[in-house]
Amino acid sequence: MKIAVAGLGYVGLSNAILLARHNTVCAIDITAERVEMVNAGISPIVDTEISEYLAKGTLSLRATLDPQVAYKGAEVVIIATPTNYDSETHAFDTSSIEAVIETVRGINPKALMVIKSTVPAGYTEKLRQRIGCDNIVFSPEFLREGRALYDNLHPSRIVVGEVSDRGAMVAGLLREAALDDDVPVLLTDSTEAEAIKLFANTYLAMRVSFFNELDTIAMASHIDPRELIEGLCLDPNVGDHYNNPSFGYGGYCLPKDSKQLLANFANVPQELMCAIVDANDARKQFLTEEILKRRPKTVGVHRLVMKAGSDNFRESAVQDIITKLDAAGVELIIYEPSCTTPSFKGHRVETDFQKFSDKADLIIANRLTPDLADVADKVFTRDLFKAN
Amino acid sequence: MRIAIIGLGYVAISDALALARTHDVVITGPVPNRVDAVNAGSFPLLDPSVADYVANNPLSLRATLNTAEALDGAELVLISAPLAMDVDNGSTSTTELESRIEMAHHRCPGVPIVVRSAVPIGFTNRMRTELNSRAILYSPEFLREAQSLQDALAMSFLIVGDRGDLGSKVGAVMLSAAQRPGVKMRLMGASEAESVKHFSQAYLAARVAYFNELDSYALAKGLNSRQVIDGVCLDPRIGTYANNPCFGYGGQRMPRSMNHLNNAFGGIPAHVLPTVTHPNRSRIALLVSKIMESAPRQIGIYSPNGKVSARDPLSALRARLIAQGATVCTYTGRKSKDGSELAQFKTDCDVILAQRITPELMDCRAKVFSRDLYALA
Repeated sequence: MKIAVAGLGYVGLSNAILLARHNTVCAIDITAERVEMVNAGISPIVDTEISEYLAKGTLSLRATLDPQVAYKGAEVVIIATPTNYDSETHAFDTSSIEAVIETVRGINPKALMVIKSTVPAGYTEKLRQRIGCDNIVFSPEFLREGRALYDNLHPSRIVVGEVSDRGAMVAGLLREAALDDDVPVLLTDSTEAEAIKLFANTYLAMRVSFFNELDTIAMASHIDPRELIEGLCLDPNVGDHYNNPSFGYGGYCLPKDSKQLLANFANVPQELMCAIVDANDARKQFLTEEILKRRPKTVGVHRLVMKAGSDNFRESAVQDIITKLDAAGVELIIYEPSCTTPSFKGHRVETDFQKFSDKADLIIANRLTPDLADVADKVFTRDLFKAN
Repeated sequence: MRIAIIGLGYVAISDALALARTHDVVITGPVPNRVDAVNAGSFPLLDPSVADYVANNPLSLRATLNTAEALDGAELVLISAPLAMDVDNGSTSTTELESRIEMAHHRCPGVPIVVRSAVPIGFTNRMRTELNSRAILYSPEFLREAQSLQDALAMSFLIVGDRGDLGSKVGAVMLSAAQRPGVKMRLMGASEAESVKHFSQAYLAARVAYFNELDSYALAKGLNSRQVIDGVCLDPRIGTYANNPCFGYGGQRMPRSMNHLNNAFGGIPAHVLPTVTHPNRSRIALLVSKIMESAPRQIGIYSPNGKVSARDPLSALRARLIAQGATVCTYTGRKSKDGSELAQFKTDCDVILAQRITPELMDCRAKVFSRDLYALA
């Protein structure tokens, strides 16, 4: 089957590679550099499995900038363009999806379009009615950054938002591409599938906030948070995973998905959804005050990435702490080897660790990494288990 | 080892049964009919597995009304006591528990005393100071009342609130209650162990509240709630347990734990934890509006296990419905021989509110308003 994939970010690229194991895939992006890299077998993002599969060269995959090449003759078009959360409209900006749909309909009106980008609950159904097009289904993406292809090769479940033969066909494509045999498949109604994505990520945001609030309480009450968490997580109803305190939940999905869900609730009575969103800022405010209590002259910020293995700074929790420390008049210096600019938000970026640690009298780190071992007495972290 | 257990509630009796396989256990409390029942071998537990367990395991267990006699010669004392919660200010009265600890402390100096009741955070350290004794420990229980003995026998983990040798020794005895190998034991500070108990309740409360809010959303937007929950819970980090919506959480334990946390940590910046203390308000408001949509003439509340307690969400639901002008009656499970009571209830009501759908409601399924999405087909 010929499949087109629109967008070469985490979601698009991992889906393109996944599907190119059994189908002919043409991926399209608006960035020439990404297209060239993919055609040269080089991954434009940090992801072990993506790099391996691209390097092997056994895939039926090519990338292009040309919509005609990509969409002509494609039976299925996977849409994986970015939908950033707009804090003014309180909704995802879905314009990139709609632009793709318009182009596809102009070139290949019969193609079935599968939206993989995260969208507000109810989006696909409304869009179908508004533009009078029935060929659009939503299928949520559950991958983690840095493990994008791995998570698609070993999916926890495949969800497609249409209970129909073609919904089953889309699910079949994804299941056929997975390496596991027993992947659960759920065909649901459209808005339900969109809600699944938002509610799953918001649950995880709640879990992160729960352990962060526990840690906040423990810090303020002289209770050992490590003992408490280790004991608590022996309870199988809680589980020993995803429980390491941090500066807040961050990354590409959790902050924006929880905000989008809260906006979707609109007039539906709720208390917890709001608390999950508010909890994150309260945590950062509390930690900022804890840092200020130590009266540092120069605070060193160790890494802007959200977690070890991440290659971007999108919505990382430490950025809000930087803003708050800056507002309190603290001098800041940033250590971030993957930063290509000499400054970030007006603060100097140092790529030499020795120079960085000499200048800072307190180093804040969302996650402990081996390079911090020599300066451990300067480090402020809430990473209790040395894990992501 | 000679073990004395003070208390005759389901935790005390389950502990006693589980430990009496390998130890000489004497259980005591001021309730004559319970003492008699234990001595007659008919144990007053809801857990249906008791009879089978007692028939298949030789036990060294007797009960007495005389606490002093129970304590004589004891090498380990376990104490449970009802903790009365003041609904208005959320505080818990530990008076009864304290007097039991003091008595054990004076009758059995130096003998380890293990508190099993879900005490407020800081309680154990306060008792240690007041009685000038290190031998008072807290070890949380995680027994569900309806299967308390099975839970005691199948424990997968044990927490003991003492980091030293005493904790190890007491833990070794407590482990002998388990009928399975590989129980994970964790020693920790007394306040940490107390906190584990309450945070465990809080996590469950947050989870229940979360799926209820998800369900409110689905209900308000006309979505298939079950589809959404199924899709969410297939994430292994979320899991498929404890996800069936209800009208709101009730009972004693969760609200009590939430109150302990609020009292211990009031003023600390938190949002999720304080919210799960009172998660039911908005839920109840939405449910009331949904129930009233059909303008019911007579609403019935189905409470088959007895009266609706003040802390039961059904109670809040009833009050709100009455405030909206609805006529509400309650079925409390009182069985007349011919079953006419329930039959009359079903006839009289045009809407029946049920937290959980039971087989006896199946013949009037169309009248039942429930958020039980995983009920019998």
